[in-house]
Amino acid sequence: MALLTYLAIGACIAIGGFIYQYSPKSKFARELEKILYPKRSFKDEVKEALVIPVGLLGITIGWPIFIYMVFEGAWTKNRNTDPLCEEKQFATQGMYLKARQTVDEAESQAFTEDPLNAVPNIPFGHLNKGWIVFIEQMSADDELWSFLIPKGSLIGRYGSEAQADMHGYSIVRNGKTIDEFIYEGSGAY
Amino acid sequence: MTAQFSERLIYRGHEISMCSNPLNLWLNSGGVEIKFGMSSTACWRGYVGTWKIIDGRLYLIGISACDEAGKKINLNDLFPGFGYKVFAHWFSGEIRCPQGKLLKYVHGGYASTYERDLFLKFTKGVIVSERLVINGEGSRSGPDGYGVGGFTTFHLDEGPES
Repeated sequence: MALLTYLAIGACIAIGGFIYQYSPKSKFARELEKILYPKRSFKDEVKEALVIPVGLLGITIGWPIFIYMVFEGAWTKNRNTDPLCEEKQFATQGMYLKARQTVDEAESQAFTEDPLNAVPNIPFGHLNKGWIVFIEQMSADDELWSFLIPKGSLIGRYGSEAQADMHGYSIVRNGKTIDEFIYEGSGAY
Repeated sequence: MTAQFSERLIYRGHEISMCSNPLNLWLNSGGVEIKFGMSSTACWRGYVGTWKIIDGRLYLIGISACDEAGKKINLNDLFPGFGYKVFAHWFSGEIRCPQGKLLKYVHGGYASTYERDLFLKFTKGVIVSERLVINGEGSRSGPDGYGVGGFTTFHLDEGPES
């Protein structure tokens, strides 16, 4: 009886969570899949169809872990409301800083020429909007530092490996990074 | 995670699949307000970009995506004034283009292995080297390529050729 009650609670949580999170596959996504994979094998179809039932079964059996993960995630998110607490999420982790620069110096080095005129003639080209958002956070006492993270370095909160050299700028306030802007790299780590 | 749709790359007159996402850095650079709305487990990134290497430089020439309301997004929505061609000056690193027969299918990301991997290395969007890695020989009856066959009918934001 106790086991049945346990599984019933789990099933309710799993189905409730599924209904709450469910978003049907858009028409666009369905068309895309049809075009890209016109000859999908039966095995792949079965695998795809089993993803949700297996997930629901897992939650039904291990729902206390699921509940713990949901609350732990929400608590961690709410705890880090101070921007300075977010430092550990930055790729640089306070390391790899190269040289202090002014905004003008940084911008003067950031123009790209293209023979097909496929880049705007503004600092950081197609990344200019991100750069503007980045430097708008700077106050008078903040410092702007260039950085270079070499390929293979372990970066970010989870120590992922940089797949290529990453170039960017950090805003440093009272010795701590408050934001960073990456303008060159592979985007993969 | 489900195996992911690849990006498309036009290189030396051939259309090949590209298992790298050069647009990532731009999307994460800040100031990008559009949110992709394609809900498919086979395309978590929410878009499929079409890239072309012209005179050794990497350009984004089309994108297939829609926003959260289901409205189709084109290149001009992402890069106003550059609706036909966007030079990927931010991209430094290697892209991987799997080719040939499937050797091992992995139901996640770009992890499946194919007979050959063509690696193209870029610095600031300009190609600096390429190398071909042979991974083995697949069975004759095995699937060929990264599902690229269907790409030819896929929507493209066509622009004037350079």
